[in-house]
Amino acid sequence: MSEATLSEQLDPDLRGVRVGLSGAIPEPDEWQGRALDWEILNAVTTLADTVFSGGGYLVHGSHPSFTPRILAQAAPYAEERGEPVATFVLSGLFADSALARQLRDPRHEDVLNLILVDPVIPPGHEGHGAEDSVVRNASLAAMRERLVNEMDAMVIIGGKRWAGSANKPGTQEELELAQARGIPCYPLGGLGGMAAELGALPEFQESQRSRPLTAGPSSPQLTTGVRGLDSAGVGKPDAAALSPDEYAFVRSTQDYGRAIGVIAARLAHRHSG
Amino acid sequence: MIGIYATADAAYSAEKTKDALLASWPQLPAVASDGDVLPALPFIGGAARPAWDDLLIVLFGADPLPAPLRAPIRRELDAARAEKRASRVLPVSTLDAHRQPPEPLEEVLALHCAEPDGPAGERLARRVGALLSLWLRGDDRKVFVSHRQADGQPVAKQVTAYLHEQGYRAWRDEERLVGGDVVQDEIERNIADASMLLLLDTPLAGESEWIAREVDAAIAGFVPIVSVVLRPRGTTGPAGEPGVYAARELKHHRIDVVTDPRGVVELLHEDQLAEMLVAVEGYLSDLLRSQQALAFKAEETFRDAGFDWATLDAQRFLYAGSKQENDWSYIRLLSHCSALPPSFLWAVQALRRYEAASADPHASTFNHRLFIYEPPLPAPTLRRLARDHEAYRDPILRLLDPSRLEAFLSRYQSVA
Repeated sequence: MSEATLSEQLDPDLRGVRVGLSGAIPEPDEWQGRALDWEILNAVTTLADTVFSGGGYLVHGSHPSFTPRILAQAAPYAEERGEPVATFVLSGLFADSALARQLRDPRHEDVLNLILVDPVIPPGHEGHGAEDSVVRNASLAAMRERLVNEMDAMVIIGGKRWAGSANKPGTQEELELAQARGIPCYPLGGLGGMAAELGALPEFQESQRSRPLTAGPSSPQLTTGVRGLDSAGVGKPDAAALSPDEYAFVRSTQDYGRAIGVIAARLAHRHSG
Repeated sequence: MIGIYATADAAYSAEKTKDALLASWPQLPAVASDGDVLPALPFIGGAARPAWDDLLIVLFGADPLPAPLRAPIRRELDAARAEKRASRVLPVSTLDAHRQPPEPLEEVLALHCAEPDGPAGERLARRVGALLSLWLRGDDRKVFVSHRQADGQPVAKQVTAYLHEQGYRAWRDEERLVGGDVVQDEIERNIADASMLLLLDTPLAGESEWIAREVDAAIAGFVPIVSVVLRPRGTTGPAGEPGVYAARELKHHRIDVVTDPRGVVELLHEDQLAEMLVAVEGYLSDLLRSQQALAFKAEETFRDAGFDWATLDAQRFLYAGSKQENDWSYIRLLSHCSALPPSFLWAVQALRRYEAASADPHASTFNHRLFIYEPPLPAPTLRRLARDHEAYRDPILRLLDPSRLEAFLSRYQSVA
């Protein structure tokens, strides 16, 4: 008798695919009577489970609220597969933080790969304190570049807009890096935040339609472990692109679970095509 | 079902109270009754266990409850005590000068709501939302108060006592270190017992490894978190922001406080405690709305896949999705949209035992019984459940989360 659960029988084959998760919990004024933090954590859990169950890997920039959920979801899969199933990328600025201690906890040793990216100290600045905004921004930019280089596709959930602030939204920066690399990006807009804003931009929608599937020269890791991409990193044209109807659904629905199912099916097309 | 009963001298407020509840909870059925009749609620005086949304609100003035009504209410109070759960009776005083509930409710905390169409009515609606949110998740009213001893012990004691007075089973724990390390098992035990975590984010809370572990465990364990950020008045900039890293973007509410010369947060005023309660109950009410959305999502997915959708028991989130596949084949799927994961065996068993009441024998026959829930449990965990409990090997039971529902339904294609 097959031991496979129904979910596994239904799940798209994502073996070897490295799915990136970008996002954050939007500012409270966007919640509008919803427990949006709860919904976003559930969406993160659903995405993580879909990826792990399909045989893929989740790549994430160590959001402090997302991380415990991802670790809890990853642990049983990692044990069963006998390999780490999640990659966390963290700026060295936070190497001594509680978050870093959590990621280095021996309990998670076989669950995740941790990539610490060295802080960047621009000329004229000293130390590596996160309180220096120039050091912080430069270091986070380096971290995000490495983060996106680890991904074959990116799913965006929520994301802070930083309205009225000089801070550039991290979600937006990661999206721009992902687009520069030509990897598919899927904004789950129904949970608000930057994902809703970016998903509604006509230029983003257009870029998704015309997105080249050839990996750029700066991203040699794109082909790693991704079936369906040949040695030059060329996938089936538009195999991972959502149809217009799918895109309209994914960028607007509050049914994030169903939207994740649609995205996973598309990723599997690209994967196996 | 929410039932509203009013003593004779409070009858004037019954309809207004019902309207106030409906304004906040239009999807919840509510019935009002007075005189010598209680609203027809099976759990009052009967053998039925209350469903998640079963609640009797008793509006009272100075009159006693009619004698015939005391016995069924007393039976519910006794049953709740025996089953170690919260009773499903909420007394509400309607007179400023008379706050003591009538017998047999005199030991039960009463809310006060003299004007249901004002702020007091909103408070009642929030309380109802908070209670139902906890009951929907199969939990009681257990609130774990996470705090930093160094600057938050007095206020944590006060908040815990206040929540008790409000009818919540609140408790707190002390930080314990073994060889300088936090005791992870102790933390996880506390969190596993909690219906929600109330984080008192005092100025030193962000430095506590213990609190960080408690918050991480709550996030990992699907325990809702509300953070109350307690800062000296006038604190701005990073020092005024939530200090516990993992909870920074979660629900939080700032309250300005006074600290003593050692930096210890002084006790809150009564209005600050009430403000905190508004934040907690408001969040739990929002959580209820988010959780109720699952059934609507499932319905949309079924309909998009060409299924009809019929409500069998809205209170228990039971539905029938049906579709004519071809001339010979008719698909009927019994669907339960659960706020609980399938690791709650009793919730799965309830779905397995459910029999649709109908004169048409075909109407109670199903191809599958779908347990629809979110977020998904890991597949290895489901396999372990199947090994440990025969119930999960039911040949027509299917466990699904919304990300897989569309793929599952696509197996049933209509043949032209």
